[in-house]
Amino acid sequence: MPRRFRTFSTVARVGCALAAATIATTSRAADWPTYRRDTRRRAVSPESLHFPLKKQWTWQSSVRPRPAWTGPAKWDAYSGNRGLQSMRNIDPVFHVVLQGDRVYFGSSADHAVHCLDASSGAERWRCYAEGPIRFPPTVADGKAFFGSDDGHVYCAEATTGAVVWSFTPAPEARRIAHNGLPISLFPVRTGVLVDQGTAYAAASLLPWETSYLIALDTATGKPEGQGRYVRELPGVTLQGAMLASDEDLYVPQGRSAPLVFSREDGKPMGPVQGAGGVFCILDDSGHLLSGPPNQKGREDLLRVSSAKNRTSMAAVPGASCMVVTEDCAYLARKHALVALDFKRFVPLQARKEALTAQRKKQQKRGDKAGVAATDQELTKIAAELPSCTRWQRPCGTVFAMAAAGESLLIGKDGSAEALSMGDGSARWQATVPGKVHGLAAANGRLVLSTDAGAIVCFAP
Amino acid sequence: MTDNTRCRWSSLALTAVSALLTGTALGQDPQHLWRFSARAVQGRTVHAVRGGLTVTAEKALEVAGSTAVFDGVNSLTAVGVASAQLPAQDITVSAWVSVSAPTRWGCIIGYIQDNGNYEKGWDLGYHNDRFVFQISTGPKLVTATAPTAFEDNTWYHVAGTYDGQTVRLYVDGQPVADAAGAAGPIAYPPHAFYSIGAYHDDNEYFRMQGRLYEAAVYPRRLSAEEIARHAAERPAATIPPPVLPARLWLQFTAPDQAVLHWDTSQPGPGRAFLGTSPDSMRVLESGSSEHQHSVVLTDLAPDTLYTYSVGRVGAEDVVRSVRAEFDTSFNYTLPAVPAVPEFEADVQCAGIAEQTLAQTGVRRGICVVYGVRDGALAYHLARRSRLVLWLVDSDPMRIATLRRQLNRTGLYGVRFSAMTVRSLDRTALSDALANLVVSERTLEGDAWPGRPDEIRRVLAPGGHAVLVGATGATPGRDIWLESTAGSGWTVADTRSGVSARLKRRAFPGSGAWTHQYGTAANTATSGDELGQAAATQDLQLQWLGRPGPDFGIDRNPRMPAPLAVGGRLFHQGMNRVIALDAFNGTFLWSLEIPLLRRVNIPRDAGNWCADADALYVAVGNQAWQLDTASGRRIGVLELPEQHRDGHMWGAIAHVDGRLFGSSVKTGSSYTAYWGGQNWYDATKASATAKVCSDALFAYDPGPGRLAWVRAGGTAINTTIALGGGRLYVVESRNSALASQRTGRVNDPGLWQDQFLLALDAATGKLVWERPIDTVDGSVVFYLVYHPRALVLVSSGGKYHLYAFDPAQGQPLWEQQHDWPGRDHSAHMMHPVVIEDTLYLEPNGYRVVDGVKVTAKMGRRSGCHTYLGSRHALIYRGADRKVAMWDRVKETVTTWDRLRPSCWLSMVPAGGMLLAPEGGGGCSCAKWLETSVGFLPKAHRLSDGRTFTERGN
Repeated sequence: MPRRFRTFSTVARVGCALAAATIATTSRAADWPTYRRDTRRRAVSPESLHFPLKKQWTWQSSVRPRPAWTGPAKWDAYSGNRGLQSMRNIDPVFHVVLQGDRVYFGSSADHAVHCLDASSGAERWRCYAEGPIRFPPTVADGKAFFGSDDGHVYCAEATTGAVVWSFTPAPEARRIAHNGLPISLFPVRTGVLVDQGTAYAAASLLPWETSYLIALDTATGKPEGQGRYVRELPGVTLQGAMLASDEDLYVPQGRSAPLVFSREDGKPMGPVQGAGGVFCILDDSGHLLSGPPNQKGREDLLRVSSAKNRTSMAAVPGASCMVVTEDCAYLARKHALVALDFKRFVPLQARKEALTAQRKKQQKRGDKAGVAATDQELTKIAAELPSCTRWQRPCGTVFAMAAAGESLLIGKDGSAEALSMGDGSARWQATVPGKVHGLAAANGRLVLSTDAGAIVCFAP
Repeated sequence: MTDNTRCRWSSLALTAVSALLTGTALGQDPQHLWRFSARAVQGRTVHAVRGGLTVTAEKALEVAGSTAVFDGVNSLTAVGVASAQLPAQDITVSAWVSVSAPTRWGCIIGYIQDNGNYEKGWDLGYHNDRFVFQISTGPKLVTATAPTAFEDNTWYHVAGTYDGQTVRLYVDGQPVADAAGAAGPIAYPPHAFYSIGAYHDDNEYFRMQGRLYEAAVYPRRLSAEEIARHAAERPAATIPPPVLPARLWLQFTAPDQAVLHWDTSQPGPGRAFLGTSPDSMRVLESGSSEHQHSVVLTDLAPDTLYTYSVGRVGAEDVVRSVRAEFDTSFNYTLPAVPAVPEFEADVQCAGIAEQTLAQTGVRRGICVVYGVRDGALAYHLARRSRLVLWLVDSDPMRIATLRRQLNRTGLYGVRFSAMTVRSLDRTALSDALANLVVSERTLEGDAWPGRPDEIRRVLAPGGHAVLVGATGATPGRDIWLESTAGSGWTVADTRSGVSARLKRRAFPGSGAWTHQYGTAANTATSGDELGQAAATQDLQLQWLGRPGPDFGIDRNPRMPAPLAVGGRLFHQGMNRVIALDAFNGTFLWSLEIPLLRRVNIPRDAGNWCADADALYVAVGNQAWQLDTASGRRIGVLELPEQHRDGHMWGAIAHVDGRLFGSSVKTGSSYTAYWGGQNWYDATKASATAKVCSDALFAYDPGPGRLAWVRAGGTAINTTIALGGGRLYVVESRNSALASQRTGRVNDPGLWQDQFLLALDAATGKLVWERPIDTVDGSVVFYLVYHPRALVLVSSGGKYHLYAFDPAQGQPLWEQQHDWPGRDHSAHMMHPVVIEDTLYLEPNGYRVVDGVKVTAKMGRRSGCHTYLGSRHALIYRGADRKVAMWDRVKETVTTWDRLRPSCWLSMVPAGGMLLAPEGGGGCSCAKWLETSVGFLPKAHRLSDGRTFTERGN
């Protein structure tokens, strides 16, 4: 299979090595070094923010983000469903990562990764790819790793933006037109997940073309060594930020169910039952939270699955986005924010769904006694479920959620808020231009990304 | 309200009845009567004409003419009305209503509670697209339901009566349904909402979208004669619209800007009203006092839904159209390139850019710059056009510098994209995608960097390569030019800075899709060779992207087909048209046309056709001629005068420069798309009634002189076929049909007194006619022209095929076969004629004698219809994916997760297979939901070949 490596001059490589030796560090606890902070995409930071925060600077793109996909359809007229949901809204904003005193993001508009000074917002460097960049870089060991619609995974110096290596698994270099601009037939739209010296990504677009799951040595950019590979995959559309547990990789597909692969060799393990969309979290209890599983629901957009078994467990009724801490889930419903005792909620909800399915079968076969018994148990669960709610407070539409220290952070249309995770009480609010789909908190700062192309930094 | 109202205004204007304002025209005794003149409506309050009962709106009620506009978020309620104030038993409820969006539970006026098994009160309303009158005298509502669908955006007089025994529904003065089961006094709930324009009870609140002229409640059963008289006394001068809704359109011109155009029926100052909600409308003056108006809408917010109306400033007041909407999510215009002083200083490049654009005429699409200098030429080209510039060079330092320089425009990544290539002799750019190719290196006197065949390889058919800079600047370039001798380069006026030009010719064997079924002959093929592609692996993806699934109506209602000709692809969405470059998918232009929509095309003709220069679109009672390059309206043709009143433009075709049309009674075309019934897959009359024309006509080429008109019969639109200098059609001369109010004919009489006609296309004179007696085409009825046979396909229980000699009309052969299924289009397929074979699932028949030549057509799966390229049938096949069936090998290949619409949304044309998104809307996941264009791999020019080898 043809591979395309880009080589750089010896001088550059030496320079890269020196730079790496100088700044290579492990991410500090306070950093937010990758999309949604960690490889499980939990968007939860131990870092406490000190309120009130004040706006420090705004970086404004000259054009709005240019998402990969339009849609969703306005409605399903045949079925009478309105308010269909997008299942592949991977890049509504320029999501950021924060490392030390720097802010990094990739742009779907100007095809570059930008590094800003976190204190001033001044641009330190810009590194161009040859196509849109859908996810922010992952910053690790002094390098910034990112993927582009040009079909390449890039590794750049985190301090200078100098490209160290790039790699594409694409069998052909051909550029096609996507909304009038050039992209590869094998764009990298998963971001780059970096863990333990390996960079994982996927190059994928069309189900009738082969897709590629890749695991590269972060030092060399080559699929060489234990646990490094290029896995060819037919019939898939890998897109959305990939996730990792200790053993497995989870890769969303947008309008199909996320797929699970062995981290070790990229072996496909299968789809996650009942799951879909590009919003995914791996929580600490072995759940994959994902959604929306289809586009018709306006309410049950997120589902809980067993990450290991890939089986569907329960819906999270009414939730459109959420964050999960060790024992509590915070979710945004249509008009409310809710804190749930998730460890109690999931088994109860799963039991409720199992009983509901059982009841249907019992009813179908005329098993009145069975129905009565099931109803009894359902009644008990119905009585018990509300007690899982720790607090609830009214809220408008929420586009993004994250947590920092004891604060719940939410992004809305034209504003962001911080609330107490303990009781939902308001701590802070700020107005920004556009819908806030991106939140990142690190080193005392909160950085918001909006669909108006703005990146806004707040600090005490 | 999402649409302008398509009204039978001319019918409504039959009677001038100022007496209506006082209610005397009713000649009766309504207990409650509301009308919606500006006098009666004051903000949220509507005062009753009779009965003294004031009703209150949820927000300020919009009045258009003398009609109340219900927009789905507003309704009227009479507060504190107890059932004792309403008729106890005998009752008549009536209304003049126009519904724009049928819903499952719709109410015009009612006093009802319908909560689970608790059903009390009454309402006059609609369930989906059927009017209903329902009343409760016991535990259940008894419902009289109209047997046929109403047309949305059409005025009706609807009335329900009850006399203690019979629940009866009248539509337009005719009793249409009785319901048994009611007896005695009306069973009222203890409390309810006396609502107008909403289905409102304790647990439901479904607001109407539409308009009301009048609502009335009588405390007795009106007789059929009284209701008929009332329905005949149509409201008149008080409500005709000031603006013909058909003459309203909008074009986005910049990312934050659009131009709104409208024509008024009377001259006068024009005014537009625009806002994001009815309560925050800004006013814009057109500046014209004539019939034609336009205003520039500025500072439009992205991804925002705007509502607007237009009007004429009259003597006393502004007469406004109904409200329409546009969504800036569909504004795909490119931002203009701002001036950058460093580039502006390069006047040489500015001049060359001017000349290049002027001499080639290429102003939109993709321009590839092979070999870069400083980006100045690219900048000036972009600044003077809507081109997207792809810049390639083998020198990474040049590319890096270029990016920095072009980034000064703030539009790098939007209007410019640069990439490093290993060699300019063979780049990674896909084949045949560039509309313009230049090099900045030649500005410096260099020869063209890279091989000549590489230039041709990336040029799209119709695209231009331009050698800029003076000839003779270097011997190398002249040698290079000499090397291209015989390859199509022409040396131009060197003083202009353009030394030589090359235009790529069309792909060999390419066709055009100019009408609903490919050509005006209805063959459902363009004859495109598609590079001899017969399987999906013979094609490669060339482009993808917008429009996406949000653009269209839905996959279900069987919309008009896309058209593709002259290197452009045209596609209809929800009352909108978009034009894309066929070879690279680049956005060219779009129009929002509120009254464009036409659906259920298997029972009607398509509403547009095209040639390379113009798109002809039937809009209301006109045909608009749109410039295919810009979307500008360049001409308007009206229906022939004697067939204009009460009619709309039906079929449309353009052959040999002549525009053919037909007139259909207003309201005949299908426009409803909401709900399963508007999938139009059922075999019942509501889905299968044929849209028929009262007249056929043709306009001569040029200034639009009416060439001929033929009237007299009832012509079935799906049988209008042109070929060989003739127009063929099936018409019924059953006189009973002519008097029907609608041209959507469900009457069995349509199948009586039928004739197949051949008219001279130039003169309209009858060449021959033949009485025919086919099996009734109750499901679909098509006519296809082939030089050796006219083939009628009649579907009713099974497929029946009848072939006739096109020259004289003699019968040639007949065939029949079973439907392959009873749903998902299996029973309503349109035939495909490729060369001498007619395909109709599952069989292929020889056109000349009807002999079956195959029964192994690739089998359809899911709703769609077949279409043909030269070597394959293209359709929705195995596992409901888009499939190709090789005509020779009789094998099937597919594209995974690609789905079309439920009728015809893919076209082979220009050497490409084009599939603008048509499948969106399905609640199910999985489908790719994006527009795509495929290039046959055979069109590729590979390394080592010179472009002359293909003679192309």
